[in-house]
Amino acid sequence: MCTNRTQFLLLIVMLAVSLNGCSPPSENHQEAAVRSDMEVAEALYKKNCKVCHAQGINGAPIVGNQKMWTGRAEQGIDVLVDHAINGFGLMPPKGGKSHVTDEEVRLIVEYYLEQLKKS
Amino acid sequence: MKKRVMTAAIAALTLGMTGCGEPESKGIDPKIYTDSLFAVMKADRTNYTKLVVKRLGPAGADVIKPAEHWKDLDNGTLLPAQMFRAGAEAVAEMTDDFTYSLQSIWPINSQNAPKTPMEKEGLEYIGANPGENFYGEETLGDTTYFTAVYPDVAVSDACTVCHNEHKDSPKTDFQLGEIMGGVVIRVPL
Repeated sequence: MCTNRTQFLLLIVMLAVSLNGCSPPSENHQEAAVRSDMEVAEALYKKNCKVCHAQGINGAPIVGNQKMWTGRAEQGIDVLVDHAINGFGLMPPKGGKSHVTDEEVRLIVEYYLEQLKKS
Repeated sequence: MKKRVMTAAIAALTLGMTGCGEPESKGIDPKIYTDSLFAVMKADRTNYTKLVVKRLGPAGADVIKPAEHWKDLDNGTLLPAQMFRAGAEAVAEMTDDFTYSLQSIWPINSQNAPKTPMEKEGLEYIGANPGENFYGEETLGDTTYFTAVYPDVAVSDACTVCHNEHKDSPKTDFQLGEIMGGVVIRVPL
């Protein structure tokens, strides 16, 4: 009986230790959620936007390019999201990807602004 | 003695002058070279689209008519892709130091289909990897070339409608934001 209980407790401890190793110890829930959002945004970007925004095709601001983004970023995220949804300059509404939702567009723009901090 | 001093002085001077000379030229990395060429091409094409076609065409002042058969129209003007080709032709008349062309696996004009295995490989690669470029080396005749392929994207309804409805187009379901072909830049090494 005592042996079984000891084994059970040992199992719990091992499980806790192994789960703890799955995420960086300093990351809290909020940071993890942001990271997850950015991963979703990156996947959306690669699927729908990268073809123009990686290259600057038709004047599209290149992701991570400080020179192209600084002035744009200063306009604020709401303006950028509005431009992306409704089209701006040579960019058609949502870049022609009408299946992308407005919420997803906002997430992608947040991803672009996040990349500025890294570059 | 004087002769020895003079010899030493000349040797020192020679060494010193060698040190002052310009560093040995290594040349520009071909990738940086073709990327830079493409940046200029891209900027010119965008500016023509934005500052001429959109501003003066039907979507703007409506004083010019951008159309495939622009020569047949009063105030007709080249489509952005045609203007791009015109640039490539003008450069080909000017120099052999590099060439560029707009090609596609689905060309309206068969002359714009890939001609070498590397061009085909490059066009297929950029089609399968949107937003990525392709770089490689190929030997044609006695010369080895650095060949770069950059994506050409359907950026407006005008692109998709024209290609999808053209009687000579082998592909009729292009969508906005889709890769239609590629810009092939070739530089002899």
